[in-house]
Amino acid sequence: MSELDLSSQPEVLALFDGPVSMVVGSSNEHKRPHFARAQGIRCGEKTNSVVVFIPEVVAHSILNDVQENNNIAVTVGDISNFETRQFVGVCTHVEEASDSDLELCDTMLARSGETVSMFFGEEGGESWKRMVTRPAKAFHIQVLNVYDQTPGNRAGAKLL
Amino acid sequence: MITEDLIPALQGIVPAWIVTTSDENIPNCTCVSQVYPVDETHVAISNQFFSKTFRNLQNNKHAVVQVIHPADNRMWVLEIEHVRTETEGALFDEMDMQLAAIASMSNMEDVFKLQSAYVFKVHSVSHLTEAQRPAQSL
Repeated sequence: MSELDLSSQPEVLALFDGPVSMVVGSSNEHKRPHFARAQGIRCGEKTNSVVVFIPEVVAHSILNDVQENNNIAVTVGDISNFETRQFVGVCTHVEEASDSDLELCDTMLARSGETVSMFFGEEGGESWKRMVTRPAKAFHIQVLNVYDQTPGNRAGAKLL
Repeated sequence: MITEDLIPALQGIVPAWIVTTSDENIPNCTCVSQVYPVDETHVAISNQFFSKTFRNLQNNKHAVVQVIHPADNRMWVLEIEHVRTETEGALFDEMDMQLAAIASMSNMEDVFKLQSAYVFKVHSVSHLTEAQRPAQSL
C-alpha cells in the first residue's frame, strides 16, 4: 500500500491556515477514550505526518494513552464555515513544543478568537483567547486516513 | 452531577465534541450539535449523521464529550456510557425541537435531521479550569 500524501489534497492542509478548533481523541489499553483540545497543528517532516500541540495542563490523558495504544485521532474544524477534517493515525513520538511551535499556537488561537468574537461577541472572543497554549507537548502523528467530518451527509466520508 | 452551572453548555449554542473508540481501539473524534440534559445523571446526544460513532458505540459504550459554556468558553469533559437509544417519545420530540432551533441559528436546516437520541449515563464531570487563564491575566 502506498504512503498517504497529504499534499495531494491542498484544501485539507489549507484548513490549518484558517480559524480552527482542534481536538484530539485517544484511548487507553482498556478502550476508554479521552479528549483534549489542541492549540496548534502543522505538517510534519514527512508528507504523511502532522504535528499537533496540546497544552501540558490538559495533555496528561492523551500522553498516558499513546504509551498504551498509539492510535490517535485529530479533528480540525473551521469555525467560520464548519468545514471539518479528521486525521486518524498513530502517534510516533512526543516531545516538548519548540518556541516557534508555541508561537504558531498563539497565532492560531488569536486567529480563531477573532472569529469567535464575530459569532459570540467581544467577551466570547476574549475568553476564547484566554485558553492556555504553553507549555505544550508536540505529538508527531503518522496519518493513515483522512475523513471529511463536516456536519452533514458527507460526515465520515474517507478522503485519503 | 449535572449542575445548574453546566446547563448553558448543554443548549447547543457551541458545538460539542465526542470521542468514541472502535473495537480495534481506534479513536473517533467528531462534532456534536446537541448534548441534552435528561436528568441529574444522564445526557442525550443527537444522532444526525455520525455513523462511525454509532458503530463504535455498538461495541464499546464508553465515550467522552466536551461541552463549552457559550458566554465565557468554560469547558467541561463528561465521561459517559451509552445506555439506550430513543427514536420517539417526549425526549426525542424535545431534542428534535431544540435541534431545529440550533439548525436555524447555524443556517443548516437542510442537513440537521434528528435520527435518534443516544442516552448516556454520566460517570464524571470535570471542569477544565486549568485550560483557561483567569480574565484579569489577559
